[in-house]
Amino acid sequence: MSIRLHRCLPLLCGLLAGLTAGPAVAQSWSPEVDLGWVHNDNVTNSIRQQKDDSAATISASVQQVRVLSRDWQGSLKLGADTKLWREYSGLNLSHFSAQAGLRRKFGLGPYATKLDLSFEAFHQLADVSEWSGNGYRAAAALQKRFTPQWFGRLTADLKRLDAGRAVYSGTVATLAAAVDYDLTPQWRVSAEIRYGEGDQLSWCRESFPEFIGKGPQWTDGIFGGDWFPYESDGNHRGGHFRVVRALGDRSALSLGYDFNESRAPKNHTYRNHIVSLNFTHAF
Amino acid sequence: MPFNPLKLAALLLATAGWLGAGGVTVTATDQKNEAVPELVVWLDPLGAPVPPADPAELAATVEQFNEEFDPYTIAVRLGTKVEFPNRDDVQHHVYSLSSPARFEIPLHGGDETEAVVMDQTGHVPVGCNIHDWMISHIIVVDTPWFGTTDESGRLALTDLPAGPYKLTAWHPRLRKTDEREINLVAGETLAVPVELRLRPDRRIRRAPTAGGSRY
Ligand SMILES: [Cu+2]
Repeated sequence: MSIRLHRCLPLLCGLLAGLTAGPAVAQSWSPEVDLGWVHNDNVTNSIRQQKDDSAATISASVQQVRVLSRDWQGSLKLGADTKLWREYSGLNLSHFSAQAGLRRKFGLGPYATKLDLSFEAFHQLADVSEWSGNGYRAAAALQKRFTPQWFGRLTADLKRLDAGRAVYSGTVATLAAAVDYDLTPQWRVSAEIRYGEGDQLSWCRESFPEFIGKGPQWTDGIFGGDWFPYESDGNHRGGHFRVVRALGDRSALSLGYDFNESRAPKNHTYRNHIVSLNFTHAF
Repeated sequence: MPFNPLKLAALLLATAGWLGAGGVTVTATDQKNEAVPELVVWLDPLGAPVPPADPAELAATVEQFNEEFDPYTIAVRLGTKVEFPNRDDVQHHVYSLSSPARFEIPLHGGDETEAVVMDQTGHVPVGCNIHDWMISHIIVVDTPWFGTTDESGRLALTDLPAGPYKLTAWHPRLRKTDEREINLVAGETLAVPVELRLRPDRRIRRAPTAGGSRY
């Protein structure tokens, strides 16, 4: 898959122009910040000699929602996020993004089905300059509240990155189904299962049996020694489970467990177990 | 001092009213013995006619402020014009799908006020189509004696003609309305303790979820 960002720019510009020029009254900008910690037991995405690390995550965004009519809402979101790894700082990534969204609500009230379409363009900055580049993400989500406690969501998204070096570039398409259940007004549990296909970035050693005799590879130095990045096309299965505690109306603390299993041709399978803790505040 | 028949009549009426008037103080608690605020209470006279409404009193307000409705529960008399002023600088889309009052106030912005006349008795839940967590409950009653309990679970109603009444209490967390008969005696205030079994609070959550959208 090779849909380039510049082909999607006219669509993004059109959405932005539509949102800013419409007759509807704009809602004010709503800022949101998220501070987190994450631990990944296999940051090399490797099948052997896995390395683990933990990172601090910071993200901030401002969103403006524009109510276009009874059934349609548009939104604009500008965001920045960064991930700072404790040991392997070469994995540090930051993003600056602009997202335009369109929501169709099929009926009145909280139980009406919602369809969200969004397009995000982002710039990625990496410690390894060849990993920096531009990308986009197109997503569709079908959401439905069944009761005040039960909420369901089906999402499809396509993400593309064009980095300075081909090995870091790639496209991934993902389908996911998720449910939220509010045990009490304060406690929420969320679960998601997902399936994705696309390019997988891993790091490997030249001394691994699969690569012996294949000659020297381009190394990025993130894991030192003879570790080098490579890419393969495969599928991902995974899911997450999260417990969220509301702290008033505008803040929440969440603890999540994320599982991912990626399979590439020739049955190269790697797994990630990710634990994360996040504090989110909406102003 | 010259004799004024109008003043005398007013004085006689006031005295008769005072002599024949009673009051009631409701104190509401739940199964944990905690105060129940925002409980809607009204009194229907038994065997006596309901006095006609003063048109000037048929007005009530349900504000939208800080992306919430205020008040959360309110009782109004049949025929009341309820105004829905938007005190936020964001738009709201107020609606009700209830049978006593089915209405929609589409997309009104800051400082805009729309009104709806409540011309049927019953429960009118009001929501906002933009902010799913916003909800208010309007109870339309055909009596002049109603109110909602304060933070300490108390409500005092005064100047009611002596006699028997049906006292009804309603709350969104009650499975069904709480009803009882009381008898008011002239010159006395009757204390009515109301013990309620409340269900868990089942309001839609407003707080953000990491990675999720608030809207
Ligand atoms: Cu609203």
